[in-house]
Amino acid sequence: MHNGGNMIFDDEDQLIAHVENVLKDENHIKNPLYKEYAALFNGYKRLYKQFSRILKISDRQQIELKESREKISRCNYELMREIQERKRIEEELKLANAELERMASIDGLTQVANRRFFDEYIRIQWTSMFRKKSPLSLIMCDIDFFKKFNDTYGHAAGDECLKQVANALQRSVMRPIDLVARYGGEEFCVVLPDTDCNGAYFVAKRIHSEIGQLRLNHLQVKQPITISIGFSWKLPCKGSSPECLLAEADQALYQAKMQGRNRIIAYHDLQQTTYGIESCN
Amino acid sequence: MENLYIKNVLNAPDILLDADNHILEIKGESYPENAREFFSPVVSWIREYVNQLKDQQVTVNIELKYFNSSTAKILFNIFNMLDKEAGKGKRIFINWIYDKRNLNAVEYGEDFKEDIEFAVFTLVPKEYSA
Repeated sequence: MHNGGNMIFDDEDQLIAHVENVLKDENHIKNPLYKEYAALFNGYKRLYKQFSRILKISDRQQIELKESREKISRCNYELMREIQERKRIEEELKLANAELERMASIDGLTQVANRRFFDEYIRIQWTSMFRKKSPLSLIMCDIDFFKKFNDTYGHAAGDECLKQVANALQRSVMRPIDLVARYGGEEFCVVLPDTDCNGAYFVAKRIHSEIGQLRLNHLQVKQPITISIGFSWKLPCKGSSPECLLAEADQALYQAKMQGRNRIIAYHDLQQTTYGIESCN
Repeated sequence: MENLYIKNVLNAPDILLDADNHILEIKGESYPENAREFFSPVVSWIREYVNQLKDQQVTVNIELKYFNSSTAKILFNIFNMLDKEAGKGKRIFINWIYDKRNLNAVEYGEDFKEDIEFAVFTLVPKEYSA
């Protein structure tokens, strides 16, 4: 323990035990510095005790800090997961909404636009063409003798026929802006923005040709399917509405039926060649 | 004797040493840059105050939500000083006011209490809103 006059102890407890023994020794009490020595020793003991307590407090504070840090990171993680889950649900909702929107605007059987969507679309295009000063064309088609077809081959075959015709119409239009719609029953419409009579006639011929190639042999349908087509075009003007274009195309279609079906009639030709027909309607 | 108030020092508690009403308060959070320097006038004031104290009852309220180790050491010194005076018969009541919901806070108080022999040292739970 003695090291060249310096005393070295393993720890504070050993030091305290040693000094306590020295202070107990009666020989030392007479020492002139005994009181100061004892005070220093007591001060040391108190400081040592305080030091130990402060360490204890400090340790507990560190644990407190560690626990709150862990709690925060747990909360953070849970929040992140919550956010991700919400994002996922939002995405799903968006998809579901888009699907609903699609379902609301699509004809379930033929998968082309329904009447509701057609009405909206022709209005939008009418306004748009008015602004662009560009022509809008409308083709109306009706499957010939469809009622008889249904009666002969049954409703399943009738449905298949409608689907095939819708597909053929869809194949006949080339631009994304062109819209094929089921107008009602066995009647279909094609909206052609930025298209004049030549363009509309070109599409009408392609429709006629596509329909001409349709075969429903697998349904034991012997006769070919034919359709009647009427179309019209217009340059939208101020205060006008697409209803007049619809009426003209409808009149042309009516004429196609009257003239024996399976043909294309343009409204403007009607005006020149079969003048006075309107009064017959 | 003049009262001593110290308020709004960064990271230091509010100090209200009221010699007229015999209430000494240390409140808030305590982790000043230099705790010895900050508390030096506080310790001096308390020393002077307890020396001239006669038989008045003194209330010491310590309400610290957070304190660092340097503050802990100074608190030990202050409590020792007060306890020594209590040992001479002065009526000193120390209240360790802590957050009821914090289980550690009461233990901190117990650590300080262990050193006290003569003064009345009470652990006072307090309910903090939010």
